[in-house]
Amino acid sequence: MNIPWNDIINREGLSRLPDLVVVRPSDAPHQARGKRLLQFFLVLMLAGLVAGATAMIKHGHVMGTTSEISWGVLIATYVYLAVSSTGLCLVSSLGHVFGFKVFEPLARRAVFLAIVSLMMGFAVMATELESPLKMARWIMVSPNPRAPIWWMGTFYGIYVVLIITELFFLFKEDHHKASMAGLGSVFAAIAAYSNLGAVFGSSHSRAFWYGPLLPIYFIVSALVSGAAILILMVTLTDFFTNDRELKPEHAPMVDGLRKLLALFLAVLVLLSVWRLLLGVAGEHAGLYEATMAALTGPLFVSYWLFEVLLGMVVPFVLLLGPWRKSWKSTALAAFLMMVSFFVMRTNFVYQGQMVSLKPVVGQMGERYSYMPPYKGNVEGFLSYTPSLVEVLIVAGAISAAVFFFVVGLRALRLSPKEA
Amino acid sequence: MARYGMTVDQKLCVTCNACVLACKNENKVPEGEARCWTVQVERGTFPLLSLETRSERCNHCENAPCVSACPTQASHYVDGGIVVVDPDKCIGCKVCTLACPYEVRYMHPDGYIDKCTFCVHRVREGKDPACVTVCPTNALTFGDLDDPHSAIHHQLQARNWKVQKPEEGTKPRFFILT
Repeated sequence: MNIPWNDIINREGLSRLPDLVVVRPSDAPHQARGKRLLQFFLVLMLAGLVAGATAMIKHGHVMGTTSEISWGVLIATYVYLAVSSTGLCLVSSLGHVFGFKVFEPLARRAVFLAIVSLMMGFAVMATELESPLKMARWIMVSPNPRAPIWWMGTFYGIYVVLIITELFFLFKEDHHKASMAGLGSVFAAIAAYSNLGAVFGSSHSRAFWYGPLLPIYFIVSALVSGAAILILMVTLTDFFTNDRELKPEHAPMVDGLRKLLALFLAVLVLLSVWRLLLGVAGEHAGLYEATMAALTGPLFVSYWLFEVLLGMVVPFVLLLGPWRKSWKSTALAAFLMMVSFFVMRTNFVYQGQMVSLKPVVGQMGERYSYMPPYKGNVEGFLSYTPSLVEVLIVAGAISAAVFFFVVGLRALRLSPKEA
Repeated sequence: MARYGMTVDQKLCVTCNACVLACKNENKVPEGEARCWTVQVERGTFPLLSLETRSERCNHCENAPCVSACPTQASHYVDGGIVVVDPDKCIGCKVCTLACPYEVRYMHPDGYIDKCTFCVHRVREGKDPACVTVCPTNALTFGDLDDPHSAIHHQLQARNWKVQKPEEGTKPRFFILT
C-alpha cells in the first residue's frame, strides 16, 4: 500500500521539526554515543559550577594567579568564549543580514550559540572578578569613558540585548526585523571585541600586548573562530544525526565556510607574522623577551606545535590541499584550530605578564634586591600554573556552552529550514 | 591647588625599613603585602663597587595609566593629584595592576586593589605621610611641588634627580635624589 507520508507530514506540520528529532534505526548507536558525550559534558559543567562557586567565595586563595601574574587562564577563556560569540555573530550575519543565501540556514543555530558562548564567557569573568555584583552598579553609576574595559563592557551589554532580539525575530520568522537587529549586533560585536583588543593594546607598560594592531588582530581572529565553529556546528550535527555523513544539501555551505576560513586564516597569519617580526626587532622592554620565550624559550612547544603547526600550517593544508573537497578534512582543520586557539589565547595572556616589570639586573649589570622581598624579583620569567579550580572552571564553561547548545538544538526549533 | 610629591635621598637612605613598618602599621597593610619597600642596587665589581639604597612606593603619576584604565573610576585623583583607590568602587578586575608600569599594587584580601595613598588621611590633617615622619635619617621629603618655599621644591631645584621609567610618559611625582 502506498502511504502518502509526505502529505501527512506536511499536513501535520512535522516538516518543521528539527531534523535531530527524526530518529532512524541506523542513527540509534550514534545517538547513544551522543547522549554519553552529553552526560560527560554535564558532569564537567557541574564540576565547573562547584569550582566557580569556590572561586567566588575564596577568591585568590584558590587561584594560580599572583600579584605579578594578575590575569591567568580564566581571562584567556573569557577572551576565547567572547571571540567565539563575536565570530559566530559576524560570520553567520553573512547569511541573514548580508544576503548570502548559502549561509542563511545557519542563522538560528549560530545566533543561539553566540548567546550561549557569551553567557559562559560572562560566567567565567564573574568567577575571575573579585566583586561581580558591584560591577553592575559602578559600571553605570561611575563610568570611565577613557577605559577600554568600560567600553568593552558597555558594548557587550548592547550586543547581548541586540542578539537576543535578533533570535526572537528569527523565531517569529520576521526576517526584516531580524536582519535589522542582526546588523546592529554586528556593529556592537565589532565595537565590543575590538575594545577587548584595546584593553590589551592600550597597556603601554605591557610591551607584548601594546599597539594599535591588536584590536584589528582580535577582530580577524574572531572571524577565524566564527567560521571554524560554524563548520564544526554543521558537520558535527550531521555526523550525529545523519549516519556519520554530511547531508548533501549542506555541502555547499561547508565548502563556502571552508573558503572563508582559509581567507580569514591567511589574514590572521599575516598579522601574526608581523607581530612576530616586530617582536623580534623591537627593543621595547619585555617585547623581545616575551616573543623569544615563544620562539626558543619555555613556550617553545606550545608555540610551534599548537599555535603554528596545528593552529595554522596543518589547517591551511587541510583547507586548501588535495583533501579540500572532503568535509572531514575541513572539520578536522576547524577542530584543530579551535583547540590551538585556546592555547594561543592562554599564551597571549601569559606572555604579556611573564617579564617582571621591576628590574632584576640593570643595564650595567647592577643587581636589585628588595625588602620585603619582591616575589617577581627573579631572573628569567615569572611563572604561572593554573590551579585545579581554574582548570575546572575552564572545562566547565566550555562544556556548558556545548551542553546548552545541544539541548537548545533539541528543545528549540534551531535547525535550518531545509529547502 | 597643591601638587604633592615626594623625594627620597639616596645619600641618606640606609634601607632600615622603618618606612615599611610605619606604613604597614598606619594603613593596616595585610600580612605578606607592602605599600612601600626598600631597594638595594649593587653596581660594579670588586674593588670598584657602589651601592644605591632607597625606599620606593607608588609614583602618584600625573598621567596615571591606572586611572585611565579603571572602568569604574575606583582609581582616581584626590587632593593635590594623589592617586587613590576607592575600595567600594573597585570591582577587582585587576586591569590597573596590569596598566601600572611600576607594580605598586596588590589585591587586598577584602577584594579590592590597594596601594600607597601618600597617607592622604594624614595629609588632610596637615601631617606628613607616616613613612616620612618615621624616617630616622630624613631621607624622605613630602610636600607641594608648586610651593617655592617648600623643602621638596628646593631639593628638586638644587639636586640631581631621576624618576623611574620616564619613557612610560607617566610623569611620576616620586623623585629619587642622586
